[in-house]
Amino acid sequence: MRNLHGWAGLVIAVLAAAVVPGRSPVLAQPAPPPATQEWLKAARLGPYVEPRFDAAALYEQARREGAVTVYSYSSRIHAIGGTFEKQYPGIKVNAFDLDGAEIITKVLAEQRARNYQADLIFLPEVATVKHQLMPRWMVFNYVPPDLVTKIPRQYREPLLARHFSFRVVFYNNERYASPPVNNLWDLTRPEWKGRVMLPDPLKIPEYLSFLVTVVQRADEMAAAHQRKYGDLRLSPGIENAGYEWIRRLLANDLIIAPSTDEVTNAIGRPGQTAPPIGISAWSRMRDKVRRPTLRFEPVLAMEPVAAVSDLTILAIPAHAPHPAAAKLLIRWMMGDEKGGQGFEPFYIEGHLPTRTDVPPPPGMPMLYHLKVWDQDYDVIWKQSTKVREFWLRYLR
Amino acid sequence: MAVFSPALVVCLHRLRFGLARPHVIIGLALGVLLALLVVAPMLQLVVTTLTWSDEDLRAHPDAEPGAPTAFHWRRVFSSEISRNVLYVPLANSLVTALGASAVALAVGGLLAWLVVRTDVLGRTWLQTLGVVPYVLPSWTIALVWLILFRSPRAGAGVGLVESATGAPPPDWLAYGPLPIVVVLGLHYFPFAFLLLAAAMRSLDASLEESGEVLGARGGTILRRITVPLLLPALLSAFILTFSKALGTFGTPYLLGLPVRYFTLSTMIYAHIVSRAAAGGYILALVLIVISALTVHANQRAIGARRSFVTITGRGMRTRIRPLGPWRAPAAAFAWGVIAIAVVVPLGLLLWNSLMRYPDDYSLRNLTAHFWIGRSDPAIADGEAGILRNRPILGAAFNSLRLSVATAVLTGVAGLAVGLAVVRGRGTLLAKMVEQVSFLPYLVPSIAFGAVYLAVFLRSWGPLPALYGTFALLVLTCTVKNLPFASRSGIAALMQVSGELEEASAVLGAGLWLRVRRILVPLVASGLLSGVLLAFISTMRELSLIILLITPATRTLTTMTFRYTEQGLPQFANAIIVLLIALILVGELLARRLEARAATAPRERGDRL
Amino acid sequence: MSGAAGASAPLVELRHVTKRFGPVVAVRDFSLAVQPGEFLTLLGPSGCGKTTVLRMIAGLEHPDEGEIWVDGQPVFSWERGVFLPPGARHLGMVFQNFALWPHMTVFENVAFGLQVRRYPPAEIPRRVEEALASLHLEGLGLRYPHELSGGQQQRVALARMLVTGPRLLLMDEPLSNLDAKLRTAMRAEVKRVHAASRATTIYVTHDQIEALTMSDRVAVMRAGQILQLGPPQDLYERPATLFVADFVGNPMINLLRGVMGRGQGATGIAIGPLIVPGQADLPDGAGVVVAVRPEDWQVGQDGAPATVEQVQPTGSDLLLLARLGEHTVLVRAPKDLRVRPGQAIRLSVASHRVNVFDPQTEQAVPFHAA
Repeated sequence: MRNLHGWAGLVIAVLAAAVVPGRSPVLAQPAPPPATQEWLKAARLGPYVEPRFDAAALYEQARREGAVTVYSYSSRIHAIGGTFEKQYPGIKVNAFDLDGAEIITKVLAEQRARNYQADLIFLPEVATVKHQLMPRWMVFNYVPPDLVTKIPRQYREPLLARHFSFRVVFYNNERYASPPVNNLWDLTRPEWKGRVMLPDPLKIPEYLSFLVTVVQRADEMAAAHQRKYGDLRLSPGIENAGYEWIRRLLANDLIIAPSTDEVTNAIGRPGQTAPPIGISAWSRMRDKVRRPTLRFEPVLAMEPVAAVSDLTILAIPAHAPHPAAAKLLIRWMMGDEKGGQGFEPFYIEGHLPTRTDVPPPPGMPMLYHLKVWDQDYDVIWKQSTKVREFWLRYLR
Repeated sequence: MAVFSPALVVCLHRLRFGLARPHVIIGLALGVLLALLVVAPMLQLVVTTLTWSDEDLRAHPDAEPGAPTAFHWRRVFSSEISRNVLYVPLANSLVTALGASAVALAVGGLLAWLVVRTDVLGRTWLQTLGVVPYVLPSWTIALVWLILFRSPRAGAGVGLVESATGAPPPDWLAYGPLPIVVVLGLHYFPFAFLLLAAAMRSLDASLEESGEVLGARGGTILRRITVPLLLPALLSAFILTFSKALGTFGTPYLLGLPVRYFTLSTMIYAHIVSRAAAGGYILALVLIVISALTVHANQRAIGARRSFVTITGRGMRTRIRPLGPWRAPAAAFAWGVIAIAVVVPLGLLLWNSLMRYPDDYSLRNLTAHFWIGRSDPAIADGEAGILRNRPILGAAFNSLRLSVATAVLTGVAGLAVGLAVVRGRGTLLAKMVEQVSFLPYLVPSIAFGAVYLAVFLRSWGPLPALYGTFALLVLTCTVKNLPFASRSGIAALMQVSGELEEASAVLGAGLWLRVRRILVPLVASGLLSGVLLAFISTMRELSLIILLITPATRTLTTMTFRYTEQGLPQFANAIIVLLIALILVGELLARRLEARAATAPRERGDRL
Repeated sequence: MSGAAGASAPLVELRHVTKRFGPVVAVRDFSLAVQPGEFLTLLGPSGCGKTTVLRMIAGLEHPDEGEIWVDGQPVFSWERGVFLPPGARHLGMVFQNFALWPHMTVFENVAFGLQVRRYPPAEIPRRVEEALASLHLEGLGLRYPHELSGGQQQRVALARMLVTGPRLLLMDEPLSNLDAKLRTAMRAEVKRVHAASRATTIYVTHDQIEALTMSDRVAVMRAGQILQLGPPQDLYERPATLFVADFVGNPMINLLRGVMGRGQGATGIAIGPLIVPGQADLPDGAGVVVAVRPEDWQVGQDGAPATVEQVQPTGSDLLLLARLGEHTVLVRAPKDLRVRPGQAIRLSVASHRVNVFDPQTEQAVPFHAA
């Protein structure tokens, strides 16, 4: 390496010039760039969207496109792709299941690289899509016109939400006849040390959002503590009850899992004497169909909240090469008033459709029976980094 | 002419005559390419860490994207989170990498000694099988560890140990530094095994015997003669293992996360997926610096000693030492290592891929669904068995074409570097090409992937924005494999006397003809080892490409990683078995090719 | 310029050629003209630059200064910006290590040059066979180089060089890798090749016997320069410098310190007890180095007294180590001389047989009998 010094200076000087430009970040702009306008016009999206939903006409266009590429946060997209291909022969569904963060990273990368691959994204990353992708005209909303009256405005603007998902606390109902916990603060108690699981919030954004919501609802967290354990004494330097809960959770030897089903599988495995509890997606209840021996149930009588809801959205990235097929697939995925094949893999306990004309899936209570915190995507956008840094700080 | 100053004329002529020489052209082309693909991306990385990104706007609304800032460096090095983000993972990285190197050197060294110097049972087989762990993807043994010691912490079932004993294994045995060290050590010992076996083979027994004649005891001979003579090989093996273990991602992630044991590589990954890329890049730079320092120290240590590796020459004897009463325990050790690192992993992976439910080891739980089953909504979210599964077969195809393309390109690049360095020996250009082609070695795989992700998101110099293209993966793997390919290219060309090429130049053969008819046939077998290495390491590459993979360019390794995360270990394991089978077939084909090439006599003239 | 036409227009001419390797000057302001059909040898110890000169003529190295002309045409010139690549110079070359391509058969090795020069494919086998036959390699075409003996390999290298009929042959120590006996035989072979092809030949060697036996002219080189250029006999008998005297000749020349002086009525050089009469343009008392070939000593009744210290019979003659005053000298004597170690003899040398050098400049000093 000794010889490196001589020429290194020269190379650095030559290349420094090449490196620095090209760094201008893509910033929010008041209107889509001309090329995107063109695409919007051709794709009949944004201001150019068709006033009426004409499935036959859309199918005709989509068939000419021949395929649709969808990035999905859930592997259940493969099943939907199957029914869609049967319903609309001639359109191939290229479905990829990725983490939400991966979807964002890839859409950003594709847009910046002008290497457009995705036609449709299906993910719970509402905050990022709303605050980072939409202002840069990288993603566009599409609400099938026939559904406008069937979905409350806040669930179709600025982005079309398809269904609710819920973060809940699970317990093993073989070992425990009734839920062993009834308060989020129980999870920080010594008897649960090393036995509480949480999917990795650094990797799965829904769980970072969950933590942000807990911080946002700090007052209710404090009240819940007060009700069961008396006044909450914040640790030195901790801002509020939400952060305090996260800190205590980590200090209680929290087990971080790489995915949601690792959590439910570990909790639900039969024959355990000291099974863990943990936070995961309510919709993991379907794992019990997959493996009937699993024994886990959500704790619905939880203080201060039973479930934190989040929305899963459908959106079309700018310059998607198959926009008609993407629209048709969106419509298919929104299902019908009985659920429908396009909705079916999600018409299960743990999800609720945003369509008001669809009854809740079997086994799923109506929302108003539950204590639910809805996520505030503006807060999540602003506070996520702070909560992430807090998480990193107290990680060990 | 008169208008030009003589100096300028001389300059122009020098350029003109220089360009007439092919190795100069190749050297210049390589210089430009390497500057673009190696040096510049590293500079770009540094620049990125020193500027605000638009991502930073979330927490710092007054930040101006693109403007310079030391914020990211302060955040990593001296903030409230530095301890958890930098210092603890750094210490963990050093501990696991050092520990893994120690395990690898001990196991590999002992195995090498047994195979080369003793009459241990099954020497030839040991020799062949001792290399296989390197062929397995790096986290395979980690999966085996989970199969054995899985406890509730990692979800998805229970390990064999708990099945057998009824008690969950303690956390320190299941997760964290100990398993990471053991697993990495068992994965990387083939380096030590290969290097030390070669060194021992070239170590004349008379060197030790003369010590014995002088009355030295066994221990003294080992300490004063054998170890010092093997030191260069030991150091090389150490450095190889250490820097590989430092950059590896899969094993520490799988075995570290459940107990929140982070290394630099897993922390880089966490940063990049949680969209704190600048922090991840800074950690990557830290890894690069550590690697560079280690290699530098190694070069200094070996520099003074290298001379006596070469004095050994030909006509040596190696002495086979009868083990006597130790024969059985020695065989037990050697075969135990092979069993743990090769047979059990492969067997368990296969078995596990045949299990309906991942924690039920009974025979009635066996199913071929994960291999050949049709889509069944009741199993694995309705995914079909891997041999019927279009995405998986597509990924297998991607893995193969990526590895083959990388291997071929690496071979070409290795030859080009060899030409530029060997034929231009002593020139500044040759030195530069040699040094820069070694740089990717210093960059840990995950960091290398991070660099390329940062650079190729946008168009870069003359190159378009390559993110999401297959070409980017090929480029990344080729550049990352360049150090080994260049070494083998340089070594192969060193063995071919320049006269062989000049003889054809005098007869009027142009560059292309010379390369095609003289050089390639002569260096082919020397290059093949580098090419094969590139093929194998690309087939089982994860850390390097995990950040660059897009849905359309998925490989088998990223698929298995994903299935592991999703709690579908049967799929993951079936894919790994498929992957290993493909690697072995590839290796077999390459060896066949080599054997056929070798039927033409290949003694290489006198100077070889 | 001297490149003018004429009967003796040189085939190869180097003009003020300099070549540096980094800080080392390998060849310094080197000029040389080689006549058509001539066999010229560059002779010198290793590192003297002789191979570099050859490689510059071949086009394998680029001079840093000067010009090289071949057949009245510049093949390299700084000033004109000319550089002809090796293949365009139409010459043949044999390398020290033969440089036979190990992956090609003998036939393929020889045929390569013809293929490169796009000879009609039908013609190639005939020409190759001819070349092989002319070097007594019939029947070996299908062998690989490593299946041949050293002498056969050398002949293949010669065949490969000759097959395209070049006007200029360059040979870089072609015999140095052969054993002594084979070397003698191959010397004749090379000589025969030269005679048959009439191609101008430039031959590089460090072996002065090869140089003396084969060459029309020899250029003795040292440190990148020619010390002496001339026919072998001149070099042997009238070396221009001490270095040439020392380097050329086997067994080694005697180099003896002497003093110019006047005594017993005659001028001459005193070498211990021996006086070699003659005159030189040097003051009395000046120290000189006198070079005497071993075979030039006369052992007889006259001369200075000396004592035999060692007798080495070589078969054809006797080599004696004799003590002459403070010097030990090497004497080649007829094989029938009967001497034993310890025996006293008398040694003398004819004045015209000695060469006298100035010890400071190492240049020859004219010396002649009075």
